[in-house]
Amino acid sequence: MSAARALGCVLVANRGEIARRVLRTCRELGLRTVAVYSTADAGAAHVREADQAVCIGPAPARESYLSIEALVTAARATGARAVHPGYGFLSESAAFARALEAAGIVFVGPPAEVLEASADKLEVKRRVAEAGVPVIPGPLEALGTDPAALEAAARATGYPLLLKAVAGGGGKGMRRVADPAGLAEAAAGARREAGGAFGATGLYLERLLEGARHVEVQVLCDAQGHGVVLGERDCSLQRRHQKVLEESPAPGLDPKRRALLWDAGRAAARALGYRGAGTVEFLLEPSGAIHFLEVNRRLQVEHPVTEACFGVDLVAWQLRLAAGEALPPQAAFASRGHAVEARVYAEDPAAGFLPSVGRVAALSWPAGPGLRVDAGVEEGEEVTPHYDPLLAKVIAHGASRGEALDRLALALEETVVLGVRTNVGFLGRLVRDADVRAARLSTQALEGRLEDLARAPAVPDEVLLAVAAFELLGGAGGRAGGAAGAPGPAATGRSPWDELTGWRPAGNAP
Amino acid sequence: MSARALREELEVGDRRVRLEARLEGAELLARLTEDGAERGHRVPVAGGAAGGVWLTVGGRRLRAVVRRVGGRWLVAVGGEVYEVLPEAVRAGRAHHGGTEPFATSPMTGLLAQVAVAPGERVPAGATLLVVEAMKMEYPVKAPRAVVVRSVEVRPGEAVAAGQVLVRFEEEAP
Repeated sequence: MSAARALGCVLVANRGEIARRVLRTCRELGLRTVAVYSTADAGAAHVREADQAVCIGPAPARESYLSIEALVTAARATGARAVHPGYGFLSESAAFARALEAAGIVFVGPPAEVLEASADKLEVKRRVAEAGVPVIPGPLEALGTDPAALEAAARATGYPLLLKAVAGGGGKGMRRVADPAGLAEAAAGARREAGGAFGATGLYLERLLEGARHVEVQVLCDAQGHGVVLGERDCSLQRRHQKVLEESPAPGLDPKRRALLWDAGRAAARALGYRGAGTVEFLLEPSGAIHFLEVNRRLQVEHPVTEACFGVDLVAWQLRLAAGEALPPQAAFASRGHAVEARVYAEDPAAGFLPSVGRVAALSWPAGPGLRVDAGVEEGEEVTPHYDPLLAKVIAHGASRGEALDRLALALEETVVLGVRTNVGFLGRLVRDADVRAARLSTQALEGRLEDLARAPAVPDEVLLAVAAFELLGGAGGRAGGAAGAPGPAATGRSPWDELTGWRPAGNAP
Repeated sequence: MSARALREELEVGDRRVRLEARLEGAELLARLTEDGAERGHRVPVAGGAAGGVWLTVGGRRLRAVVRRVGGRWLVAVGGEVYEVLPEAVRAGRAHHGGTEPFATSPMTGLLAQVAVAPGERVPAGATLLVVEAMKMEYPVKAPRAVVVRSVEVRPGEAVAAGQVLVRFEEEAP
């Protein structure tokens, strides 16, 4: 039996699909569960699914899911012995880890001192570089405000380059600079944005590696100083720094390159004194060179592809490690087959990917061998504008990459979300795309192709036939209840067949 | 055999179709009239659970899920979602072509920021206000050079897609 059981009761400080996913593992481990919610989420699925649920504040995240005080109070009041933060929100907050520690509650994540030390991205880069891991070319010191020094640093780094915020995250305070002419303005803009988002204006420079892939290594580290690698994921397909499609293993890596990548991931984790589950991100150049990008000190959205290939439950491992359990040796973990995840977002690709909200009028997810769906919403729920647009993740596992992609393509065809516009159609076109099938991947691959991929296909007659069948079969096939089942005005009209004589449907004439 | 039949003028995507249909046993007979041309279909159909319908088209069985929401049909088939509008809804839609004396919200969300004040002259393309939803900020820009008459919302307020946010003076600035 796992040590995690000793945690007794776990509070999940998150919402949506990740809260539900964490709650499920807790239940499986025999742990009592506590959900938290804002007033906007009172009707959300994760609230119903926990043994107990606590309202922690109003809709704005900073007054609820980001309120350390409200969360610690909720954990204390419910007798939770541990808090799982999910991803986003407070998952990488040293202050949150400290506050829980002071309350005698286990934070399911790296220790507060690791979170504190790694909040400075440049400091992380320095320590990882010292451990011999290749990093992205660029000075290891923060930029001064002197324009001449800035220009000199940029010249030494080489164009095109990226300005990044030392306290950065989520693409905030990040600017791409193509040539010296745009440098000063980009730096001022990045400083302003970083100041607003993080309260710190420090910047650093990195060369922009064009045509590179985003490849990340999953690590698990125990308190005994032992670490293992659970493979890598390729998350190159992104739109505005937001991942769209992720897979494991990374296609086209030869065993030598893969071993090098895993070693670099292990070395980076060791250099940071890492504990728990973490992700070490790298850029992989077309030449095969790898460069450390950053470390994510939380469970990743895309963790299910690793779980599918390795046959593990990463949340269970997080809880076991938090309870002090030691890891088995690396040889205990082996990857099988290939897995691909597609992120279902509440957004409208046809309208420039604008967020979309509303009541989910119909919902049905695919199911079958090698398929998994982690969904945050259920039919009838409201999707509100307050939080992340991620509705669900559809994950397909197969013996090969081709099989996984075929499986995912069918799964997306079978996916139904009505009432809120989503990117499901876009994802389906992406999964069937020739470049994606051939694994021609890079973080810029989607740039310039979005409009094409976002365009819905010509409307087939089936759509109109479906409307006719729906109406004539009594609205909702005569079975579904509610307003949708009531006969509509469309079905009460005078029969056109009274006037139609001698007409025969085409294709069936003798 | 069902005595019910259907006749609808519909719009979906860039198609405008007159749909006439009836059931004959387990088959759907449909006639689509579009741009003066007619096309007939005779397809086996069956109702499924929760608004699902099964159709056999071109020898292939496929499932569609249909819901009537806000006077239109939402149809999911093959991983795509289509909005089918009846004539009544279509006729009620306003067409202004970018010359409206107001700016509306492109999405449902929260008003993050107001960048203009009544009486202000604003050049074409300048940001009027910023709407935020799902952690994404979207600037609402002046469609042409305008003079602001009024700002209808305040920062932090919830706004709906299509809601009027800023009104302009009618005369040219």
